[in-house]
Parts: sequence; C-alpha cells; structure tokens
Amino acid sequence: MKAKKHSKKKIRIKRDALLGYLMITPMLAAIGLLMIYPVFTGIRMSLFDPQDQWAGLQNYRMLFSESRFVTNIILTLLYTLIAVCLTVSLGLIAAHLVTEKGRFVHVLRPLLFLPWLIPSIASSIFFRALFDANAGPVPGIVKAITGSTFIPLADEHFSMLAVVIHEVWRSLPFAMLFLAAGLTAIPGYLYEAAALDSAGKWKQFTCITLPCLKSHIFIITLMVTNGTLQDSQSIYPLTFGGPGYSTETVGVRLFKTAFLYFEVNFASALGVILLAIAAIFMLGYHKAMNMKEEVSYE
Amino acid sequence: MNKSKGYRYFVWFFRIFLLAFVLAPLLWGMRTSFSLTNYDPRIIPKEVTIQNYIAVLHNEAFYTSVLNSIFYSAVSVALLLLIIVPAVYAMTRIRFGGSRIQSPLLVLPLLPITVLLIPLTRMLNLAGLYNTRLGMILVMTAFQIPFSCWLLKGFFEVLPRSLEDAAYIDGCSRIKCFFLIMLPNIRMGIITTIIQSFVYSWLNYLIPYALIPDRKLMSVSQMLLTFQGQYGTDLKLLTAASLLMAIPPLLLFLVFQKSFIAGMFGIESK
Amino acid sequence: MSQTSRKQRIALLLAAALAAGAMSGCGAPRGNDAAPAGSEASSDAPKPGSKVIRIAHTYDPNSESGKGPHEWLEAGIARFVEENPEYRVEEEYYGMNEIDNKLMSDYKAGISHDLITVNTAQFAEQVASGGLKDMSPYFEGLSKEEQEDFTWLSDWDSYLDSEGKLRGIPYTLHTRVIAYNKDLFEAAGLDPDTPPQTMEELIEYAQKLTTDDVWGYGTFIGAGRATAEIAFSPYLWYFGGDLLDEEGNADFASEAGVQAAQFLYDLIYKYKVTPEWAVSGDYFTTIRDPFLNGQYAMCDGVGNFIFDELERAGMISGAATPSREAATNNIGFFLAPENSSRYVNGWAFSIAESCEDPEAAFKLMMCLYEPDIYQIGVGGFPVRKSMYDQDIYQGEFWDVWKESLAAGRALAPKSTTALQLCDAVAAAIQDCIIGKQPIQETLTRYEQEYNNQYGAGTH
Repeated sequence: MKAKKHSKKKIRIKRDALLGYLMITPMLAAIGLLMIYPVFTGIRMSLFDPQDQWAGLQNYRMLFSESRFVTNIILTLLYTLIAVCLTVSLGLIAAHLVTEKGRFVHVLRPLLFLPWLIPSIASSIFFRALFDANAGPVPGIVKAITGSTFIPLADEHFSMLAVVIHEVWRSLPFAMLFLAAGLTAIPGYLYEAAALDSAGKWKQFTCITLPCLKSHIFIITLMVTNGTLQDSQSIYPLTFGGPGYSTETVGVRLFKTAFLYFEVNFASALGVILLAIAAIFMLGYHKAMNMKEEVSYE
Repeated sequence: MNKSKGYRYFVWFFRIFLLAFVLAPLLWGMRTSFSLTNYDPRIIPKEVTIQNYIAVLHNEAFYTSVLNSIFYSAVSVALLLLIIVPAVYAMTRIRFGGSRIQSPLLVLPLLPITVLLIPLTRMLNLAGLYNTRLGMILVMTAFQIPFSCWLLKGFFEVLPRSLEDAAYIDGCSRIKCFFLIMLPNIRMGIITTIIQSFVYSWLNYLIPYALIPDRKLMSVSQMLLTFQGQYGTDLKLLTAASLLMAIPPLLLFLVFQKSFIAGMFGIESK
Repeated sequence: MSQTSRKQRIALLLAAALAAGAMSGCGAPRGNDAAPAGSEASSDAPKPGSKVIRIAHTYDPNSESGKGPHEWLEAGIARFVEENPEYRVEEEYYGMNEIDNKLMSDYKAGISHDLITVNTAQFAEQVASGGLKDMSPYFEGLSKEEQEDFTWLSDWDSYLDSEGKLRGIPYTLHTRVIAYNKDLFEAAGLDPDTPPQTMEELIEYAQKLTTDDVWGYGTFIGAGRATAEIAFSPYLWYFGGDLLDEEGNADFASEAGVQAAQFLYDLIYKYKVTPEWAVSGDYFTTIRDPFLNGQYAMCDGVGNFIFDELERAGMISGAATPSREAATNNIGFFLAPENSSRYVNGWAFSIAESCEDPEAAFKLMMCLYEPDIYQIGVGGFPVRKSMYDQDIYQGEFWDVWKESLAAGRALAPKSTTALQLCDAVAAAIQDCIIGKQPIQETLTRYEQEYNNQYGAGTH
C-alpha cells in the first residue's frame, strides 16, 4: 500500500519536474540565445582585429597603455559611486517626506514619476538647454546672484557634476518612492519601543530604519549601478563626452566606438572590460550584503 | 513624535525643493517647446506659439514612429508575459532542479546592453532578422526578462501555498490550478509588469538604433533623433516631440496608478 | 469592476497584441516593402517595373531639411523610370549620422544595396571596407566634356582608390565662410563694405567690435568634430600645417598646429574677442543662434547649410533656393586671413559592391545629375562645373562662396579614421583652452595616442 502511494508520488514529482522544465524553457532559450551567447561572441570579437585576423590581447594592451583609458575608468568609478551615494542618501531623506500622509501625496506621486517616463536622450537635451551658456537659465541665475559667468558644461569638473545631477534627477524619484514603500512597511511599534528606551532620532534611524530597509537599499543600489555603468545616453547628448574627455566614461566611449566609429572589435574589448567592472561591483555588493547580515545576527 | 515648527518648515521647504528639482527641467523643456526661436534667454519666451506642436504632429514620421512604438511595446509586453509567467511560476512553485536559476538571474541585468548589441546585430543578420520588426521585438523582450522575472517573483512568493494545496485536494491538476487559481491572484503583479515593460520598450533607444536603421520602422525614441541634424539640434521641435511622446506611458501609468504603485512598492492602496 | 472582467480585459489585450505580432511575423520580413509615393506614380506606365533599383539616401521627405532635396530625388527618379520603364525605384532612407555605418555593416552581413549616398568624411573608410563598386568603366563611357564637368574638383583624387579606380562621385558640397554683421560694423565706426583681410586686421577689427553685448569673433571650440572643422583647420592650414602627414600619421602637434591652438587660446583670453562659452554647446547654440541674434559681429564657420535660417531672419534673400537675385541685406561674407581655406564636405554617390545591376544604378545617378533636374536643389552646392555657368549662380552674392569652394579642403582625405582624428583634435584643443594645459605637450600627447591606435604603422 505504501509502495503504491510512494510510486504515485514519484510519478507526480517527475511529471511536475517535466512541466517545470517545460515552463522555463522558453525563458532559458531566450536568455541563452540573445543574452549569454552574444557575450561569448563579443569576447571572441575582442580578440580579433577588423580584418578578422587573430589579434590576441592587442586591443586590451592598447587600451591599458592609454592615458585616455585611465581617465575613462576613473570617471566611470566616480560617476557610479557618486550617483549611487547621492541617490540613496537623498532618496532616504526624500522618502521620509513623502510618507507623510496627506492629500498632496496623490498629486505628488505621479509628478515625481515623470523623470522616469522621459527617455534619457530627451532629458539629456533638456538639461543641456538648462545649462546652455548663452540662453540657459542656470548660468543666468548664477550670473544674477554672483555676477560671474559660470558655464558648467565648459568646465572640466562641473560638466561631470552636471552629468551626475542629471542622473540623480532620473533615478531619485524612483528611488525615493521605492524607499518610501519600504519605510511604510516598518512596524510603528519598533519606533515606539525605541523612544521608550530614550533612543534619539539618529539612533532610531541607524538601528531600526536602516537595517529594515537593507534589501530596499540594496535593490536601489543595484539599479542605479546598473543604470550608470552601462549608460551612455544620459551623458553623450548632454556633454558629448567632453570637454576633452572629462565626461567620457567607459559606457560613453563604448557607445562612440561601437556606433559612431563603427570599430566593432575595439568596442567589444571595451565591453568586456565594462563587464568585468560590473562583475566586480556585483561581488562587492554581495559581500557587503552578507557582512551586514552577519552583523545583525549578533 | 513631536514635530517642532522648525521641523515642519524644513519638511515643507524640502518638499518644494524636491518638486522644483524634479519639475524644473520639464518645465523648461515645456517652455522651450512653446517658443518661436531656438534661442531666447527670457523665462517666458517673447512669442508663445504652438506651431512646434503642430509641426511635430504634421510630421508623418511622428505617426509612423508612434504606431511602430505602440506595436513594439504591446507585442513585446505580451511576449514577455507569455514567457516569464509560466517560468516564474515554475521556479517558485514547483520543486525541481530548475528553480536554482533564480539567483543567477538577478545578475543578468548587469550585462552591458551596448556590448551585446554588436554581436546580436551580426547574429540577427545571419538569421535574416536584422532590420525587421520581429528581430527587434525578440531582442527587446529578451533583455527585459531578468528584471521582470525578479519583479514578478515577489508576487508569486507572497501567495500562500495553502491556496494551491486546497486546489490539489479538490483534484485540480497543475495546469488547471495555474490558470484558475494563480493567475487571478497575481493580477497586480501582471499589471505592474505590463506597465514596467511597456515604459521600458517605449523609451528604449539603443536597441532600435542598433537593430532598425530603416526610417519606416523607427520607434519614438529614434524619431526624437530626427530633430537632430548633421550640425545641431532643433531644440524647440525636440522638446515638443519629447513631451508628446511622454503622453502614452503617462496615460497608462495614470490609469493603473494605484495598482502599479501598490504592486511595485507594496504599499496598500487606501 | 469585477475580477473576471478585468482579467478578461487583460487577456483580450494580450491576445490582440499576440495576433498582431503573428501577422507581422508572417508578412514581409524586410521593412522596405512599402513603396513610396514617388515610385508608385511612375509605375503606371504600360509595363509595370519588373526590375528594382534601390537608392539609399538621407533625405527624409517628412523632415524640414529633407523635403527640398527629396524633390530633386523624386524628379530624378521619375526621369529614370521614364527612360527605363522596365525599372522601378525603391527608396531607403537613413539618418545622416547612421547611413555610413549602416551601409558598411550591411556589406559585411551580405545585405545588398544599389545606388547609395556616402558622407565624404567617411568616404575613405567605406572604400577601405570594400563596399563601393568600381565605377570607372561606367564613368569612362561618358563624353570627355561630361567627365571634365566632374573632374575639375581640386580633390577629385580623393574619390579614386589607391589603384586609381573611381569609387564615388560627389553631388553636393558644403563650405564655410566668415559672416559679419554690417550694422554692428557701422556701430563700431568701421566701414561695413570693407571686411578685414589680414590676420592683424582681423584681430584689430574684432577688438574694436567687442562690447559688453557683442563679441567680435565667434567660432566653435566645443566637444565635437566641428572644432577641428571650423576653428582649428583654417588656422592650421594658414600656418602651413595639416592634420595628417604624407604617411597618414596625425601631424597636428606640429609647429603650425601649436601656433593655431595658441591663436584660438589668445582669441579668448588675450584678445578677448571670443566668448568663453564658445567651448560648449553645439553648432546651433554656439555659431548659428548667436550670430542670428546679433551677438557676434563676425562669425567663422557660417555655412551654406544655414541659408534657410539666414533668410528667415531677413539677413539674406534669394539664396536658400539659389537664384541670380541672391543678395545680402545687413550682413556680408568674406574669407580671411588672406589665402586661407575652409573645410569643404559633402555627400557623394556610390554604387554598392553588392549591387547586381550597376549599369542601371549608374543611369539612375546620371539622371539625378541632369542639369534641369540637378538645379532643383540638393541642399548644398552642385558639383558639376557647368552648373556654375547657369544664371542662378551669377551675381556678387555667390563670389565669395565660389572662392571658398575653390580654395576649400577636406580635413583628412584618404583617412579611414577621419572621425576619430577630428574628435582627438577637438579633445586636445579643449584640454589646452579649458584646462589651460601647456599647448605643445598636450597636442603631442593626443597626437601620439592617436597614432598608436590609428597611425600608419598600425595597418
């Protein structure tokens, strides 16, 4: 009797598994064919030269011997880290303000979603118009207040700042609402208990809010990192990678090389390097997450 | 918590600052779209006109691209759902080896799309799908799979197993159970995915740029680029077109706003 | 709304979308199946066109800039079909910045084209990719007179490959001059009919013209090719240098290059006749708009491609559609310093290597060059010498433009990496001017990095 039931269960499990595999096959096929296989093709292309002759690591050697490439890497890291920090911190602050209940929230939310609905090329150009040296309001306002001409896009450091502001503008609303959702999920009694224990606002923030929001912060960090590393369309229409190379991240250079200069092999090498950077970030985040987990168990 | 007056002022100040920060570029863009010349440093342009909007709307390329984009977005959303809903169900609900895919899946969005597009162009060429609607939709759908899976996964995981078990006891087969029980309950998840995916497809620029150079097949984001000539950008037409282009996803968003935000962020809609 | 009806709504939407998707997949996979209006009208000849010739170009009839040239295309296509009724012409249009890369990648992928248009800046690159057919046999079939109508161009050689075979023929040219505002000249007490001629005069006039609201000399030193095209090249050439040397290595860090870069630097910081914001923006925001708004008394890099806007602003008349009555109103054009050259670029016709009926493609091309059709207007200056003898190009207005065309030069003819070179030059100059880096070292560094990657030794 038991044996019969057992085998029936086995059959059911097998049938289930078959169904399961059937159900994930289209997805695996799509990803495997259109996302993973091209990676290998890309790696392969980076090892050949435009005449389809084997070139080995020549593309990589060329990149690593350039001063331009060093700039690219530094800018990429700076851009990503600053954008992530700003978005997360400002998002946290802003999230606190949006969770207040009130009738404004209904109006506020759709408005705050707008940056997400504008394509990055369009918003880049909007920002370029804002910062335009001759007709833009930002330099105009600065001139009215301080009397000196200030052209962000003509300055090597401020143009990067402009790029970061643009990126924060794009990601902030989304981050803010996401974190706000996480905030509302934190049970109120935790704060009450802490207040009873005479814990100050800052202590409450670090010991209750932050740990509870950990996974939300992680997701936002992931999304912003993802967005900034690969991104070219938030930068190129804004500054064209300039002045000089001062806003040329690896993503922007990849875009230029692949789509403007049409140097397919060299671009693939850049892509592989970008992939490596992304992987390093992922590992870093993973480690940070795990470490935090260990701490909370104490 | 005692809120001092200073705190309240700070809150309001920050709220206004936030709104200003978010809306400023959009308002400036809107203002430019109503002006007559490309260059006018005044806050309110000297001459206000809607001729830019008329010019954009009269542009045949505009209609072609809007229709194309609606098509691409709709079909790729449909295809996406077809592919990932069963897949995510299988991964979260069925106990089998395939469910271990979940964690690696989270890593995939990090693949730089620009890198993938170059080899993909070659591959699609060989398959005869380069510069076709079908090729474009396939790639667009594929790129959205990892993130959408992750999104949908959350909804599946939240559903209690008891629902399913009850159905099994009543003699429901897996498949029947899937259609009759699971789908209705993750309605919110599906809506969230639809909106997320529609917006992504609508706004996406790189994929159409790389895969469809033909003007007749272009999407709205490429249409924006037609206002960029060989030497410079026609700012007033571009801003008008961008704002017009933001309307369909905005409408979709407004209609499904409650469900979307609730689904995306887990806030209970009041 | 009940659960089921909402679910039904979604299901219906999905079904409709999928059905549409299925139908599109079944239809013709190539997107060029819709025949445009032009070819449809011409195929109501007794024998509908059974053979197809395609023309790939950049003139979108729905865009402002494409409308005019598209009329020329339509007329030429109509003439071709009239003379060869067994043919039908299909148009493919692509963006100006994308067509060359698209054609090159198509060639590699085995997608065929027939008659194509090529940007002169990327012409050498396309020749090197092998995608352009040898046109010499067809060109030599023309009469000697007709051939000379084309070969008079000073840079005709750049359309031949290393073996002397003809790979393309230009059909439109764009050039640049210095424009100046006569009203502002008068306001500064200068004679509005005698613009400066020497370098010293240029600087002197610019300084006199610069006031609180007006800059004496406008140019573009921003991020992008236009810096090399507009600001740097005239002075590099004036001082005797060139972007590339004979072997094909970058040579912009030569003494002439340093002098030119120093001149640009001085314009902003020493003579103070050029605004600091000339290093930002794009051509429209930094050249065209400020000149139209009277912020520049003199402005370099003004090209024939902005005739439309100049006319709309009332500064010139009768030029956007070339006519004998073309005249300037309150502005003027000139070239300075003496004997200087400006960048000339344009577009050329070629026959794709993958074309299976090159004779017909060549015929179609020649229809577009026929004088009565050619003069409809290609959006730039015509290439056939005989066109300049026509009435529409007589008149004082055109003299300075003809001068610029005759003296004009390409930036890096025969270079397959012209785009990258211009970008490198622009970045180097920006570094010198904005970063205030020492000029010789900076230019040398950029030149070396360019040569490491693209120099003659790497091929």
